[in-house]
Amino acid sequence: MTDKEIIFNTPKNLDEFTDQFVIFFSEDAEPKVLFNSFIAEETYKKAEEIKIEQNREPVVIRVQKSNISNSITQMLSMRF
Amino acid sequence: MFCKVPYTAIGGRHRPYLEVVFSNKLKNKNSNKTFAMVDSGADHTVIPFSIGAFIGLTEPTQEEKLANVSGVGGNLSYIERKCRIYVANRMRNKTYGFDETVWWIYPDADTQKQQESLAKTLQELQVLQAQSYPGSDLFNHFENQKKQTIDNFIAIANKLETGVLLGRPFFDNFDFIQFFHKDRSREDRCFFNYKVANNKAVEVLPIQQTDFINQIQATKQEG
Repeated sequence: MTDKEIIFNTPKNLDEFTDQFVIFFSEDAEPKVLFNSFIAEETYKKAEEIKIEQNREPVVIRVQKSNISNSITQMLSMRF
Repeated sequence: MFCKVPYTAIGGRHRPYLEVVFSNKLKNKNSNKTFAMVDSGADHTVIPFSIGAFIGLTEPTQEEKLANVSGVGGNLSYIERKCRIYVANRMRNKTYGFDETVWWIYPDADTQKQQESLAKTLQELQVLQAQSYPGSDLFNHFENQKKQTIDNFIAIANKLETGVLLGRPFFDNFDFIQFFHKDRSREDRCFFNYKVANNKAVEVLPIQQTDFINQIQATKQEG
C-alpha cells in the first residue's frame, strides 16, 4: 500500500463555462481553461491540436449545471 | 496497484472521478482524456453521444434503434457497444486498458439533424457578427440570435451530452473499491481507494502521453 494520492485538478472558474465543453490540463496545479465551446466536435478537434502542439494529453469535459450526471443518465444507468 | 484518489472538484462540488480514455479498437480511435464519475449506484457504464461518435462506434441498425427507443421514453435512446476503457495511474506511470460494454446515448436521426443545423447556424451567426460593428443594432441582433440558438443547442445537449458514468460492472476490474465519505459537508476530504485486479487488464501501457499521439499520427498517415 501507498499513502500517496492521485489528484486531478480542475480550473477554478468552471462556473463561467456552464453547459460548455472545456479543455484543460488536469495535472497542472492550477489548470487554465484552454478552449471552450458549446459544440463537442469543435472541442475534440481543438483538443487534438493542443495534444500535438504541446505533447501533453488534455482533458475534455462538459460543465453541467449540476456537475453530476443528469437525471437521464441516472435513469439509463439504473435500468435493468 | 493500489490507488488513493481524493474526490475531484468540478465547479466547487467534489465527486469521485477517474481520468479515462475510451478507445474503439476496430478503428484505432481514442477519445480525449475525460473525467468519469465512479458511481456505485449505476448498473451500467454510460457514455454521451459525442464520445461514442468521436471514436467511431458502430451506429445502431434500424432494428437496434427500435428496440432501444421503446421503454426509455421520448426521442432518447442508447445502444450497447464494446470499447476499451483506459484508466491512467500516474503513480505507477502506467495506463490500464479494460474491455467493457458501455451504454452509448444515441439520438434519433431528427435530433442529430437538428443539432447539426444549430451548430451550422451558430457558426454562420458568428461570422456575420464579426462583420458588424460592436454595439451597433446589427451586432446586437446577431447576439440575440446567437443566444437563442445556443439555448436550443443546450436543450438538446443536456439530453445527449451527459456525464460519463463508470457503473458497478466496471468494478469487476478491481480487487476492491472503497469509498471514504464521512462528512457530506466536507466532501473535499472524501476519497476512494481501489486496486486493479492483475488478471483483468487486457493491456498495460506506459503512461507517456505520446502513445496516444503516435496512434493518431499513424492513423492520419494511413488515411
